[in-house]
Amino acid sequence: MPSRTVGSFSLVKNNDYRQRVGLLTLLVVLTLTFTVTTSTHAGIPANNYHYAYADGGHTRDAGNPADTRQDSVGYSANARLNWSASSVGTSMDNDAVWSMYAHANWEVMVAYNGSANSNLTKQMVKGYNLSQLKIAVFYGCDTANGAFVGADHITAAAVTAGAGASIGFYDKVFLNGGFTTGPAHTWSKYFWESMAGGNTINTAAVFARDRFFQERGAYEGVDKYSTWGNGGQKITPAGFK
Amino acid sequence: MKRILITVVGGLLLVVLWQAGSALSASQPASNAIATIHAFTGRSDLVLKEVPSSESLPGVREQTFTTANGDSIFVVDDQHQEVTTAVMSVDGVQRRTTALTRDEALIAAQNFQHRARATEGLSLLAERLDDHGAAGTMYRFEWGERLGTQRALGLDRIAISVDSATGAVVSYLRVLPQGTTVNSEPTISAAMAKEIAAKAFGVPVVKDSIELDVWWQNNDRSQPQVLRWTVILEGENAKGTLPSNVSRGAFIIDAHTGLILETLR
Repeated sequence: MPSRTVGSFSLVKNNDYRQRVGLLTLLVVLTLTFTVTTSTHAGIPANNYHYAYADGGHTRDAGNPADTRQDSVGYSANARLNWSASSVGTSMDNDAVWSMYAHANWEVMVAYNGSANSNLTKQMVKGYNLSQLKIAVFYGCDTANGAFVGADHITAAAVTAGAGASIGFYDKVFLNGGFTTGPAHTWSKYFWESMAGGNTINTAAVFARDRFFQERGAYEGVDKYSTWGNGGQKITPAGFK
Repeated sequence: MKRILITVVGGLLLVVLWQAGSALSASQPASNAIATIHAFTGRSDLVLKEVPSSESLPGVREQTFTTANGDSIFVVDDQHQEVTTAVMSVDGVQRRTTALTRDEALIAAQNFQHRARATEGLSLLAERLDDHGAAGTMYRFEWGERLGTQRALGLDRIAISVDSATGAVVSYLRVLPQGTTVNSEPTISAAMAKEIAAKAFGVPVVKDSIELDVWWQNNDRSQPQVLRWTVILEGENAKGTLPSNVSRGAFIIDAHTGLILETLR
């Protein structure tokens, strides 16, 4: 094939070279595009704790929708079953987003490790440095009930310790039921959908309440929520507070 | 040279099409839903984005949208093209200088209900003032229909919350009206339902409450309707596994067969 000299390359060689560069460029563009659309912010931890208690009560699977939604917006999220209170507390100290679904009152949330109960207490929460934590969720009975302690309950304790915002309940909620995996799961499913959609904690709380009612035909206690700290707190974009 | 250009441009086009593919396929029905939200809010300038992989109620096709800044969220029923859930931010709404009264809040809620073209003729069944902490204090009004001699709560339901600081509507919830296909007169009496629940509870009952309503089996709108008693019982927590001395359970009972459909703990 006749060729014309261009610089130090023949046109044929030059075509090969340019084709290779072109293909390489395409490959780089494709790779970058794929990377941008699928990347996660590895290392920004979000942890969600749920339990299957010895008495048959459970919040099993309530952490799963939290995990999935947090992952979808770039967190390195986990749903953890039956972790002890000390493990849960240590995680709280390091997480950007944290939630727990458990038997509770205004002083404690009850963890269970498969053989014994242990309490995550209000005092433990107050002792942590939660300045990195955007949101703490305390799904359980009376976690924000101030009837006996005013604003000194375990939900408010997270904000006292530095968290951006927290949410709890000032009356009884139910944990498990027969359909899907019950009320804790249903509430978690809608709350985290809204949070991952870019809403504030205040908006997500209302959304979770109303969608819960839409699904189950009753509030079953989830209308008795209160948020603490910055009601405009979001979890998006992924990152620490 | 041409081939190079064609290769690169073609490749880039493929990338663009690949990226836009899912958005394009979703944007067709989304435009209808967005128009529905614009009509519902009366704000055609509202910029909305679809929430990816949104959760639909069992047996219903829905789409969920948030505002660009994430301060509001809406759910649209695909089949009926109606907003069934709306949470609207009150950020930027001027705060009142005087406290909102219950009557003012009710008027705001009723005006919104009419604007949303919600069915008239429903009864105001419940109202309360809720303190949600940082989320503010809100008046909550709930409308519904009562059926039969036992005044069972029907499917047609609306709930609206009004922010006490601004007087603005914060949320709207609608269970779309549908014909009742189940007999609203229970075969099982309230007393019998309580007995069934107490037996299953297994702990001496110290407090109880009971409600009768129509809903869908398994909370799934594609399944038949069911007339159900919801019995909530409280008893002494003898096992001591809870951080409370009260044990609590809810029993959802088919009001025609007496079968326990769901137990909540």
